[in-house]
Amino acid sequence: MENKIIEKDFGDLALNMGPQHPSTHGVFRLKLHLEGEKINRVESYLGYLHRGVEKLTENLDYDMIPPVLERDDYLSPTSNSLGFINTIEEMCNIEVPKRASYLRVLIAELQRISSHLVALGTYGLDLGGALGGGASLFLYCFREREKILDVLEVITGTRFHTNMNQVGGVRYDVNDESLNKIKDLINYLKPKLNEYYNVISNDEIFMKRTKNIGIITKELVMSSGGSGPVARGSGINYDIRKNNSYEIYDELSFEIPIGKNGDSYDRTMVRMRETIESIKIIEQILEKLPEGALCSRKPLKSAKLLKPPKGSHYKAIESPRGELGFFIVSDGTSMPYRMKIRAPSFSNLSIVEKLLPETYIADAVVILGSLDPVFGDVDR
Amino acid sequence: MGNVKKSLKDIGSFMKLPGANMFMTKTEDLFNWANKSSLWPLSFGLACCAIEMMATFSSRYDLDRLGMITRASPRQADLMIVAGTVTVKMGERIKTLYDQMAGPKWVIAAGSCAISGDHYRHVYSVVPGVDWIIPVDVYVPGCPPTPEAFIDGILALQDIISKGKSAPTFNSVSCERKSIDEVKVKKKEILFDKELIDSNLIFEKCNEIKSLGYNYLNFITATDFDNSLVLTYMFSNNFENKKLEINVKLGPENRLDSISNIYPGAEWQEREVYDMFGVKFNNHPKLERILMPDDWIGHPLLKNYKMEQAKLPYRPSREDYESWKTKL
Amino acid sequence: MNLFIDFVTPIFLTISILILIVAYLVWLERKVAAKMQSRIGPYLVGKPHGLLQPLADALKLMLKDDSSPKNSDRLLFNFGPIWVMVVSLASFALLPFVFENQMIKTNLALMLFIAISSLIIVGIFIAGWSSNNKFALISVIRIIAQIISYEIPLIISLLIPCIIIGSLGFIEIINYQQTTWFIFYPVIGQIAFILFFISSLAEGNRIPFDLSEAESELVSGYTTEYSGIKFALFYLAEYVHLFGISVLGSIIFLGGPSGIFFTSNFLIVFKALLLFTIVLFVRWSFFRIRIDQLLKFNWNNLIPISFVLLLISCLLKYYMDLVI
Repeated sequence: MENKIIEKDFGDLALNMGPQHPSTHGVFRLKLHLEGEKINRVESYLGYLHRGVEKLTENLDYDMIPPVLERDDYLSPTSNSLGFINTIEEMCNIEVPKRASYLRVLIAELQRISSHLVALGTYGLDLGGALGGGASLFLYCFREREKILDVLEVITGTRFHTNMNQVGGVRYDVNDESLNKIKDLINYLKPKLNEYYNVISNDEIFMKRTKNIGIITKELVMSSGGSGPVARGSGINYDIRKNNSYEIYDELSFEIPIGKNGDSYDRTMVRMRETIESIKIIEQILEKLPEGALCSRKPLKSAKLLKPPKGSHYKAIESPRGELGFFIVSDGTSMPYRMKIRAPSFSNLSIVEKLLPETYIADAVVILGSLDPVFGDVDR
Repeated sequence: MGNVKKSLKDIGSFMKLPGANMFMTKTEDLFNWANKSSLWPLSFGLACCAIEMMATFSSRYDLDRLGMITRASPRQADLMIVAGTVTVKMGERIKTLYDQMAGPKWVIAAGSCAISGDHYRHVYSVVPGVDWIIPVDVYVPGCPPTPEAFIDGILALQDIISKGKSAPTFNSVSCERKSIDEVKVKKKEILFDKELIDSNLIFEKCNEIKSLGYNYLNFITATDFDNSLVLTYMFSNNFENKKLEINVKLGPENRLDSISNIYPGAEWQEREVYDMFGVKFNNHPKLERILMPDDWIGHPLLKNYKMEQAKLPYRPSREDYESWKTKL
Repeated sequence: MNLFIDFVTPIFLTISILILIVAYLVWLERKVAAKMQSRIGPYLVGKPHGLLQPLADALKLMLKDDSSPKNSDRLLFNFGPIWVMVVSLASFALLPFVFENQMIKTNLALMLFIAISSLIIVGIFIAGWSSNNKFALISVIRIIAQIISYEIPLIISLLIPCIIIGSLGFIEIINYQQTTWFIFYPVIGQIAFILFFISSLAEGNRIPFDLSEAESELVSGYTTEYSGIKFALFYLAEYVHLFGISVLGSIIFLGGPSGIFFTSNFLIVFKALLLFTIVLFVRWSFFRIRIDQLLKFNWNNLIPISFVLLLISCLLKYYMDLVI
């Protein structure tokens, strides 16, 4: 009898994560090629939520577009319409009343806090599972988020697709009652956010799971087009609110939190510190809020159709996920000839294929969560 | 439940006893009570409505009061809440997930998109309502539905279950995959007033730009003009807050060099341009469709691609639609 | 007939009481979790605080269609949950749980208990392997690595009281602790209890060590393909096993039936429930750690500590015997 040693290489184990998976943050599919627990190679598939917004907007008047766009990045809807409206206003040279500008920033910052709270909560689910400590973090984050949504409901009538912005100004005003509600909210949120920051940043297991995991170097961010907390976590001091200010951000004083190592821990901490900065911004807005008109145009029903001059224009704003830009080509009619949405999540997510190899399955979840993609924004 | 009911009905002699019918109805009531009291939904979200669904599970609204806990595996779930826009690419997966769920199972279509497609319903990639794919028991309207509406929908479903009268809506449609016909559309002349670069020079130009300090690629996109496509590259120099726009006019064969060697972030952007416009990039590491399914026909963002043209499974044509509307 | 009364009745009673307790442990868990997360928890099913919730869940799972995946090994697939449930129930035959003494009277009870309860892993492995699912496969690979390594500190931490007390039988251990519970034994008692607690968390697949069921990574681990009654068996067996370990902890470290005011077997269950609640607190407040960190933590920290402790307690016993 011969002793035959049969060695056969069956290749890697290909594991499909998604599109329905508890921690892909929506509909995303990762194909992990595994060797034991280690990931050798990654393929990613997206487009499961491709709703053809860019094609759709080619058939809509400019004033009809913002509500559609608000469904895009559904964690911070206001940023979407804000970016679009800023682009149109620059194209058509429309002046915005000061009060309207303040109110826009107020809503945008409230939603920035709520968006980062969702990011932190779902990150908890990634780290701790739906039946564990992660669920507790998730539920606490959503509890605070509900308070923000209450205020938004008082001001605009809807919970988070606010439809606050319109070209030339805002739709809804605030009164003393709603201002008091915002003040109460700020007083409530301030200690809570600080508490969560302290608890999470010192949590032993959290640090073990996220420190030195998914390190994104400065060069990688720059070349891949990463922006927002992903870029700032890697130590790049770039925030469009400061560097290329829009609306009234140049009149407000706030800091840009920056990470050091570019690992998952830093990215999460940048998000958490940003919420605290947003609170500062809202406090200043409440102090400075001027009186005045809400909109420089007539009400939408009687206003003339917007017809921006021929040509193209690009303008970006800072959404909670990064640089959200709109590239609009106008042919002089009331509908855009072509509109490109520069989605921050799309560029941020493209880094994932380069980060995952040589990590473990558990890290894949952590890294994906730390990039905080929103699939309405990625797939558009 | 089917098995148990069947086996109970098989006890033929038992049924002849007086009062046996009564016993049967009572057990059925008990079974319905059990089914309605522990509805375990599949943890599965598509879009904005999923965020509101998560809010409904969170502390303030707390669906655990009704005995609902999410299960990640479809085998253990009884209820599928389709929360968000259903696309053609996702539609096939939703069907698979539904088939994987063990019966008895129920479906809630939450939000306007899952009900009818909402404002996306004429878009090429969107299924106008999840009931074209799987049977739906309860519709929860709203864009997105508030948590109160979600709870209302779940209570309505519990009502249906406890009465034992489940009659889901299912629009079955069979559409053959067809090649698309070209549509004549009036395209505009090139609208850019900026300089247009020849497509052969893009690689050298990008090298030159990068050496000037523009090391950040914002995006790549294309616009479909008369005679040719124009590609737009946007670079920025974040340290000096400068932006640089480059417009490239493509030749008739729609082909140019990839810049993914210089800017790695261009890889996905170029794939998107290929997917949407059919522009081919030389030396691209993986030039495949990124947003649309692999076997999709046509490039949606070209001007001669009509918005509701694609005839695919689960995607009824405009005529199907109109006939369906008039039926109601 | 005598045999029937002596043998079958206690088994039947034990199992039915046990299943009832375990079903309500799930309810307790959901309630405690809800309180920790500022929610209400089960409420509307069985009006005062969802008391009928476990019954509804169990009945619904029984009514669900039975499915097994294509290309799975049907025999093993069905055998897995049965094995897990039977084994985890069988370990209760050794615990002095409902009746005055355990059903199987032996002075090697602790050893047998550990031997039986570690057979659960076989069932889990069968289930994960035969499911023909990659998530399940990775999950069972993880759980085997985890349980093999955590069984060592668990057994050693249980051996320490046995060495000092000088017996492996539960009756002797309980008798010894009538004056002082072992957890109050200076230094050694506390360290041994902490070792036991940590490694039983891993043994019972609880957060932060619930890697086999890691929801966010492996969907639901080895139960991914199971539905209906088979899933219910796994679900119950997990809690039965955890409750068994809690009872074991209450007997060996918390003095079993001996209390301050009275001595009763009811106290064993009460203390076990107390331990179980502490496990719940841990579960609902920690994140999960990674598999390599888990194993490193075990081999670098727990096992050296447990061996040192074992050595110390052996020496202590030796000198105590010399003194006496």
